[in-house]
Amino acid sequence: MHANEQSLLELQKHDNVNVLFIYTTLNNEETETVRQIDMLLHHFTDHVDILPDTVIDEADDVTNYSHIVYYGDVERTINERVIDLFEAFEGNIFAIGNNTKQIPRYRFMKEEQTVPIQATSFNGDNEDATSLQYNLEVKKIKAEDYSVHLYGHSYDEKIPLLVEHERSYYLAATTLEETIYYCIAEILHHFFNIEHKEHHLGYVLIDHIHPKTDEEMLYQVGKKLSSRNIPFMLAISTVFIDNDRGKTVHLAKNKALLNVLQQLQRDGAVVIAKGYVHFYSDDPANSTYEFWDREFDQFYTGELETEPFLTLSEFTNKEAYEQYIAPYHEKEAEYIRTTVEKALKELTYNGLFPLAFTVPEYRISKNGYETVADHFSTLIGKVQWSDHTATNVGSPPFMTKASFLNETTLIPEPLSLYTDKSAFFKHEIERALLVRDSVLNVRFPVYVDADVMADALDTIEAYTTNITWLDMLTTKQHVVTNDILVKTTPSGTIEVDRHVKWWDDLFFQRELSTVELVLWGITALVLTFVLLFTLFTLRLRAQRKKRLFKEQK
Amino acid sequence: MANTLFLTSLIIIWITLLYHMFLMLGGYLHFNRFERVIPKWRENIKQLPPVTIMIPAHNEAVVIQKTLQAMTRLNYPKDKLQVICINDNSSDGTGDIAREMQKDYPFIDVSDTKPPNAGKGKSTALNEGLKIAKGKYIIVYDADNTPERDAVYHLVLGLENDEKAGAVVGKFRISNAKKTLLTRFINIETINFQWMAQAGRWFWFKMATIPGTNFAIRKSILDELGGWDERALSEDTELSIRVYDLGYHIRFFPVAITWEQEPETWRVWWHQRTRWARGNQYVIIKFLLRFFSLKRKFIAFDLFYFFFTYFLFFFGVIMSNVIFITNLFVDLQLKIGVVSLVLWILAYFLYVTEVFITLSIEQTEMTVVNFFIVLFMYFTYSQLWILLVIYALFLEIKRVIRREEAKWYKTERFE
Repeated sequence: MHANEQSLLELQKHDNVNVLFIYTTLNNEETETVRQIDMLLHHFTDHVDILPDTVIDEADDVTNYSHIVYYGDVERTINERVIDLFEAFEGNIFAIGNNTKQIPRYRFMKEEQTVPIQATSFNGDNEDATSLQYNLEVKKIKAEDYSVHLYGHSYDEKIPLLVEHERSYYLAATTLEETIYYCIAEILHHFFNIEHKEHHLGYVLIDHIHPKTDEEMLYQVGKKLSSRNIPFMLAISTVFIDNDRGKTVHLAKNKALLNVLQQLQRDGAVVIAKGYVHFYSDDPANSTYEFWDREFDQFYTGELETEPFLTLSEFTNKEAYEQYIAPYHEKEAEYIRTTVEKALKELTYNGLFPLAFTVPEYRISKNGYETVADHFSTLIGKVQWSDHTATNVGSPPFMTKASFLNETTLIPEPLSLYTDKSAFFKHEIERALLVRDSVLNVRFPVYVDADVMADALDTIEAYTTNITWLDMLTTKQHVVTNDILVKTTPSGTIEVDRHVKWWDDLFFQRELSTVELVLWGITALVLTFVLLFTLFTLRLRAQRKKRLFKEQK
Repeated sequence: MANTLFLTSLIIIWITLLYHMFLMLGGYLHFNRFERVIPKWRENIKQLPPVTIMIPAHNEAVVIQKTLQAMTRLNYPKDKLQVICINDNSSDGTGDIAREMQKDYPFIDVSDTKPPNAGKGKSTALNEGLKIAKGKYIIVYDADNTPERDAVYHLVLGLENDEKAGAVVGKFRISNAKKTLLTRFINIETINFQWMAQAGRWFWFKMATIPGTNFAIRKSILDELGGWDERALSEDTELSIRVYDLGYHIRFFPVAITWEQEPETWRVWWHQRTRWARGNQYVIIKFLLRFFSLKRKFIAFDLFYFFFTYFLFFFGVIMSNVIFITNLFVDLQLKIGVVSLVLWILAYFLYVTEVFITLSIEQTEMTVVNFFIVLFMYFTYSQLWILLVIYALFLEIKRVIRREEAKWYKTERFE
């Protein structure tokens, strides 16, 4: 069953596909939708250039591109050069959203008033329609001589949502609601003419493992998964901090848990570093995110800010803003780097060798992703789409990479954390199955009963058996810091190269406060003196006879 | 809150302990070196100067004869020696015994204090004696002392060869050390005090505290200072600071040895120590209040040390004890865990090793019995000091509130 994960992970490599992705957004900003599209494109090729329309000039050589994708977020007169480019281009163009009126290729269609849609289908059949998360306003298209790839269902009416006319594709929506997003993912196979095999990749991830985890529960879950012969991963936070009581526990302190984790790893489970710290609070609303400032909904530099950062609109120009924000981003990157390094140091010290990273609560900025990418070849989980807010996290349906992830491989998470049987889980499965090569995952917290986890697997397998459960050991992975290298070998083992200084190992786990450090310093000093004084005493005893003799003289 | 208090007390305790550790090192080094100068100093002296030994005595009939006899046996030219027995309002025949001795030894003077200066205490008596003193140096012995034959010679040797020394302090040993468990404790304590605090401070800072006995001081200095502070209960500590403030140092020269009696009963010990503690508290307050008028600010170090010993350290120990005990019953969420426990154990070892060094310096003291007494002493005798300081503070506060005069409690002697 676990034979071809390698090919599944490397599916997207198509060297003859070169994509130019142009977008028109306010201030040329890389919006959430831009990132969503970025992520879909990387499923098909590593060669994607992403540019705002305004920066394209005549010097740009576009003859090498095989496909163009255009996204118009705002209505605006677009750069003439881009129009010319579209005109001259003979390959497939995929346009999304606004501004197509300016492109001669798209004169085959007319946009009319907007309508709200509630569901979508490939064939226009109400029976087969998948509902959307929310009502989405889309433009009604009127056209001649076209084929429809996707329909929107608006109450009783069905309207063409994604149409194609002579190598020109058009999607009549400006935001990519998740179901529509998944449908686009599927349709892009036609667009690129890359017919991936219909086959799903599955994975199981035991989440929320930290130093206070009940090792017995973990052990039971591991046993159950092994009995079903399903490989699985363990998302581990190395440190547990109780925000309310200020208590810190390191993994090394919980020997029983450590034994179970090491045993599971020996039996084939793969360790995933989940940040470094698991923050606990009695009131979940008070818990903190490791890489995101929850209070001000902004990126986190390692220190809580007293007020939110200034925004671009508060500066006269972009340069001034960049100058202002850059030091904070540097601090953020430094904080994330040291945190990741600590996690790796401590995990490897405890004999646990992570092969990938998962972001705690999925909250992190683009800058953060880039920093993580320096250390890990693979990221698992949902993705935060924006740098301005952590409200929206989501996942592409299939294995991919993305420019904004610095080309890290993303093992996506189309199915949300599973804690109990729910209709939503089924909806998510159905939605994921709209895509031929989507990922179906079971990610569940370790404190959930093993039977509940088994239910999730049963539910998925009831939908499809055309699934391969991912065993990361059989894939090519590497994790690296200055003094640690963990990588998989072709024979499916883990190779570790670790050069952490002994004093680092001695101190990192303790997270000594300055006070404690000083007290230990005093301890060392006093111990030295106690030994010294003992020596003095012995010396005086040894000299006793000599001294007595001298006095008698 | 509990964390902050605990940490504060830990810091205070360890500042004091580390300071003692540092002093102990100095004391040990001083022991290794102090005798080196003696041969050269002997050669330097062509003629010994006239000196005055003052022995204040209030009802000392039990011991005065033995003490005066020790004076007659001193290796010092008798024509250069004036011994003044200051008979301070005795009702037990002390004066008569002394006068009897005077008949055979003309260098002994007996001076009776007269009202209003009679029976006012040691400082007043010493000031009375000072009026008739003729020597270049004044040497003081308590009435229960038996100085070794060369003691006075060595004290004079120090002052003659060290111009900067305002006073030279010798060492005292306990003559009744093996009498009771208490005297054993005191014996260990005094040996330790002298080699650690006295020798240590001399080694590092050229500073020692003048004890009540077995020291020599230049008469010129006493004249300049106007003698002893009659309000001070620990006139010795008080005098030390003033001598030091004049720009002199006080040399600890342990080759000059005297033997003295120590209290054999807890009651007597308690009274004597209460007086010392109160006396030192008086000195701290007196000089801290006029700290800015002191010429040599370096004294601050010593005052600070006393301040730590009698106020802060004591506060720290009590605080940490309270927190420790409370924590046994209520979880105070103390963040400093293991390290404080390790430090606590180390404090004990530090104490034990420090005492062992000083006992080993003395030829006959590092015995099996003393070994076990030291191990045991930390938890018993040493802890009494906490109660003592509390009591002394209480008395001192009461005295200040009631505006009473300091009352001298004379230490009882034993046959």
